[in-house]
Amino acid sequence: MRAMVYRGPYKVRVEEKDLPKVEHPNDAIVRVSTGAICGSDLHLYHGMMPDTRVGMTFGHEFVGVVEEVGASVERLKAGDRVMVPFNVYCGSCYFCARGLYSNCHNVNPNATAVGGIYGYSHTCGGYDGGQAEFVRVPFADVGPGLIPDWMDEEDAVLLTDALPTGYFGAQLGDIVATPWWCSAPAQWGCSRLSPHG
Amino acid sequence: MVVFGAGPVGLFAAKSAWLMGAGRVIVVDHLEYRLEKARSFAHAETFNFVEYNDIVVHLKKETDYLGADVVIDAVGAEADGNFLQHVTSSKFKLQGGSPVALNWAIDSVRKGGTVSVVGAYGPFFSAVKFGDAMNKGLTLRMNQCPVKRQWPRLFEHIRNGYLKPSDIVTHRIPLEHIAEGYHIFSAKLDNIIKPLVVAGQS
Repeated sequence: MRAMVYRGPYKVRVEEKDLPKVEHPNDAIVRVSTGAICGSDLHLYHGMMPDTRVGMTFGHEFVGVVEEVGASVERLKAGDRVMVPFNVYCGSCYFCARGLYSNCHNVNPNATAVGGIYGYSHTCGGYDGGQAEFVRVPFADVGPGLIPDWMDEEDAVLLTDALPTGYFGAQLGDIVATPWWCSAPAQWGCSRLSPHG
Repeated sequence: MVVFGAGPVGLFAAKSAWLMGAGRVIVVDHLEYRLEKARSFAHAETFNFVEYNDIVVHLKKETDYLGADVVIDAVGAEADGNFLQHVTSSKFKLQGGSPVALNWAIDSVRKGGTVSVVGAYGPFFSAVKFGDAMNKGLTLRMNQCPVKRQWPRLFEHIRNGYLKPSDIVTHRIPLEHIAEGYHIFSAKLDNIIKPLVVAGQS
């Protein structure tokens, strides 16, 4: 298959690579239809991320069609249109049980420091990513979701990282809803009139 | 609230803030075309930090000298804006990233306010103004996003028409030409905001 390959800082190219195989019964192989380059891929591209190995395929934002599933996969089948979160996570460890999927303890030898991410160096687990024709998706019953019929594929691919991350950033801010009679004075430049500051 | 960084994540953060009831949304960057997108897509006020001596002082002025309630760092480890930070991180690898945006966030949030970090930082330490954060009584919140937890609500927002994520897509690059895509994105050419990679068109 064709895949993007890292050759060193500021050097990437497209190469012929072996097709990914089902390595574990809960793996799926996904044929990528749309992927994306994320701003954080540029850290890898610039050689800023430790343990980014030559030969690695980047790409943690991708959607596609399930090509093949392992024997224990129950929630996906070949032909399903799926969107795959950038997190690789097991769904059953202490942290996943608390919804901290990005802090999964089972998917990365460096798990005390960082979780698993597709195509994001061996610091983040060494998983090949989705800037390729095919990608291996571990824990296929856990991460991937079906793309609803009404959703555009280009919206779906942005739901694998960029949009949820932005939304999450705003969520972490614990924004207190401001009624208009409080926010209006702030916009006129006299926010001390407003009880919310 | 203030968002540092008008890339895809910053734009979505600014847009989301309105959905959560923010009274005022300000986006800071240095790329004018991205600030234009912040105005049109996220309906935010924008400041280009290159135009101000000290963007932190300007943000204080804009908020009655109190500071913003919430500041989001949607920039991460390769921020521009401070030469010393840039040299020590990108050039000499003396620190894990250049936390310019994070330090500006700590400085421009009000005392007792919240700094939310979703910009990417590597595992190595960075020169963050932690003392100021402590002395101002800030709440620092951060994580990589647990994506699937956000889906149910985001699906509803998209279906109801409150959000159209693909509005920020500027480039569709065939996989075969992805090296070009990395170069355009890295050098911020051609008013790029979000490049998608499309299969099977080479």
